[in-house]
Amino acid sequence: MKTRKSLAALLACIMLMSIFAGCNANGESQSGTPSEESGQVSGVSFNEADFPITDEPTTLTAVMLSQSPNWEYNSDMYIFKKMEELTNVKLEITNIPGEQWWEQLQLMFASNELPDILFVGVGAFINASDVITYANAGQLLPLNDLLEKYAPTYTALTDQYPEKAKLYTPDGNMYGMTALIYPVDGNARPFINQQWAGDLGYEMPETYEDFVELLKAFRDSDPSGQGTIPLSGSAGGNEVDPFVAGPLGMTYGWSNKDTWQVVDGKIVHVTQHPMYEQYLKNMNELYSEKLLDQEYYTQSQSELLAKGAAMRVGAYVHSAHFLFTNSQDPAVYDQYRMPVPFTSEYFDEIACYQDAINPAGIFITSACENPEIAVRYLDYFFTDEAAEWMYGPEDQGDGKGGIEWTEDRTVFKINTDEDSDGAYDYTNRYIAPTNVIIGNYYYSDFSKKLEMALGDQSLTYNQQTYRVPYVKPAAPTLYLSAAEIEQTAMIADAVNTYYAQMESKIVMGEEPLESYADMISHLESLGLNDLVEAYNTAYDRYKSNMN
Amino acid sequence: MDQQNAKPKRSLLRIVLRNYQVYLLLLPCIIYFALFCYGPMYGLQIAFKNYNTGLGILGSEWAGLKWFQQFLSSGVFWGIFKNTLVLSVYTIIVGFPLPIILALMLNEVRSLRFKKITQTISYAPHFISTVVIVSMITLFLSPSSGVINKIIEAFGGDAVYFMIKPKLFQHIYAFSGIWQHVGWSSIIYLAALTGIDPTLYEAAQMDGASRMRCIWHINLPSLRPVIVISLILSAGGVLGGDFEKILLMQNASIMETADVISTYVYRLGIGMSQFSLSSAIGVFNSVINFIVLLLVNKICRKVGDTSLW
Repeated sequence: MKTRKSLAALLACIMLMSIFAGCNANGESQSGTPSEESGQVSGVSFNEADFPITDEPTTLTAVMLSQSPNWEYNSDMYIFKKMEELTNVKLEITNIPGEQWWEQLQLMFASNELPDILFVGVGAFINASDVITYANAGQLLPLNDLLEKYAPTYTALTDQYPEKAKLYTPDGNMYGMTALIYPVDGNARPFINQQWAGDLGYEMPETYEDFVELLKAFRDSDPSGQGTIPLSGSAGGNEVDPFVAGPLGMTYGWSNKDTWQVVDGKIVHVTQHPMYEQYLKNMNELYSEKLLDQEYYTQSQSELLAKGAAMRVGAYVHSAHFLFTNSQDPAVYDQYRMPVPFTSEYFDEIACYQDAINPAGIFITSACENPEIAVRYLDYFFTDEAAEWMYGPEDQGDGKGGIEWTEDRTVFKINTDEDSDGAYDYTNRYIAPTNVIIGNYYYSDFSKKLEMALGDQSLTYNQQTYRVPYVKPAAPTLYLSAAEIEQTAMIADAVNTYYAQMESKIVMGEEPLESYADMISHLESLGLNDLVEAYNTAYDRYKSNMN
Repeated sequence: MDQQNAKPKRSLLRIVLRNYQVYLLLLPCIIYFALFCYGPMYGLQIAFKNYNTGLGILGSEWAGLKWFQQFLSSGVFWGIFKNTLVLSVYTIIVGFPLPIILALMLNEVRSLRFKKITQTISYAPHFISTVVIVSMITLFLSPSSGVINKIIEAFGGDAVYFMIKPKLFQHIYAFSGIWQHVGWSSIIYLAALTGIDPTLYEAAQMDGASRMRCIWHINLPSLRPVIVISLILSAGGVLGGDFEKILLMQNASIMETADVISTYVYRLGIGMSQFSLSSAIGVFNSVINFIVLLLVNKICRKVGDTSLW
């Protein structure tokens, strides 16, 4: 009995200690709030317009999302060396691998252990609701004034696009910078095996109906000789929606159709889109005719890639053909080509969709003592000179790779070292993290001199030829206010879980097509209309922010 | 008087000092629980607060029972509560007796070599990580290339897409759980069986008892305390389940049966950064588990003579 009592006392003591420990940790991290007045910088000198940005060497910490185990972004990369020479600012980088991203991101904020700058890259690698929650908690800094004062290049670039409006949150502030400004096509790209199509006597399809015919030919003639899967993908990152939803006029930001679609100037949930029932019908037809991979809804990315490497797939959606086929041999991956966006009997516009201004992907946090320095530093990434640096140094012929010019210096190509898988991998290993900070990389005058040759550059060629000319703005990423998020979080989860469940069931024939009406009424009973209303309010705010 | 009061104190200290080696061995365990189980509990308060990551755990405002009300009154509550309960109770019902039966059977095996091999094979899956286990399940049950469907097709049946049938999820979960853990869970029973006094068997054989009789009248009663304790412990996790495995097995089409409290907490907490709400749901879950543990323990004490305390 006595033993137990003293044991309990001991435990109580330890618990108390941990409370105080937590208290301390909080107190410290709170003190890092920067001074509001501009120009006043704690500890170091700050040059408002000239270089270097500070006279004494300064270090900023950064967290970056690294999407490949090959990429360990660090301050020795070419671009950061050049930037350090110019600005006297060194970036101390922590990488977070893709598979740990979401947990690490939330834990970083929840424990208030933040870097000065957070790079989440291009794409939806931070939820719109998180931006609001953490901005509301004071962990993300409002950048409006800072950008206006210290980011002339960035501001001039973004001002060209009315879609810049999406960067403003409901409180009227911008909390993040976009990492990608120009309309290049999205991350998930459709590919079709052009060689098989040619062998079977088919042209590259330009309409959805021709595409289905081609898939049937893939199914019936089995050109791979090992059980050809006409169309493959995986729900959860590699949806086939650019093939199916696009030709029905539904927008898709990445591979998945947007949850919120704009119809007649109003926001509707994707299930309320006039073409959604047709979408279900088309998907169901693809599935029941065994044109769509029968494991589409359950297979993981790695299972999909195994099929890709075995060359069993006729058409798919993935970020790159050489990644999907796991091959560096142009003879293999060049069998696949991107089609132009399809039209269909329901929709005759040739269009693929992309946020013209990518949602905010670079954030400055409350841990940053000198946000002015950070903003000036980041702004320089959007200059033409920085874009040039992102292509790396000239090849010295020492096997380390670099850019190689033609004799008249009008066109260059990128040579890689032995370890790298193509130019993209090479760049992200040694030169610049073009996945998280892109700046003017794709559209500077310098980048136009890059040779469109084989190698993985043929991906760029595919993009430039078949997709980029047809890019139209997708539905914007909308910010709900903190109060709206709190009211709708559970509804949003319930609605999206139920809708995904019903959609997959109807497509796979577990539920009849007619249950679409029941589905809508059940969604409404879950509170769909409240959710739609909240998003329409957000959309009105977005429109009022457009210039 | 003084002497009497002082006595127990000194004797406790003396006991500790005299057996300091034993207490030293206990120390890592105490530190572990204090640091990793009791320490983090102060964070539970965010279930009762409007947790603001910038203000920290202690700095956030109190919100009372707001989050509990929001969860309990929401349309999803009964669905996921039912799923969690059904999944766990079903897993206990089909999964609990099998290790006991396996242990009894292994105990009767005469060939030591055969017994060892069987044991090793049966508990090997326990050491495979959950991610791999779930991939194996998905591959075995695949409609195009899975072993099970090949067998079905060989007998002229149609391939079944097992992983997308909401009704099958609980069975797949429970029976793959048996495959994973039956060998491992039987070890504790085997250990208890080896501790039985051999004279009991000798006496029973003298009286002409068959092997089945021996099992029924000697082995099972000897196992009873262990069985009761394991049952109480597994009842304490009745709203638990193997979170990782459930999350990995989930796909869009089976959410009506596969969405349980723990995965819901994960989605709201990590996915949507609703920290207070998801903590409240987590606290609710633990409280129910604790109540069930107390109840089952009480029943066991009333009915039998074994219980946790």
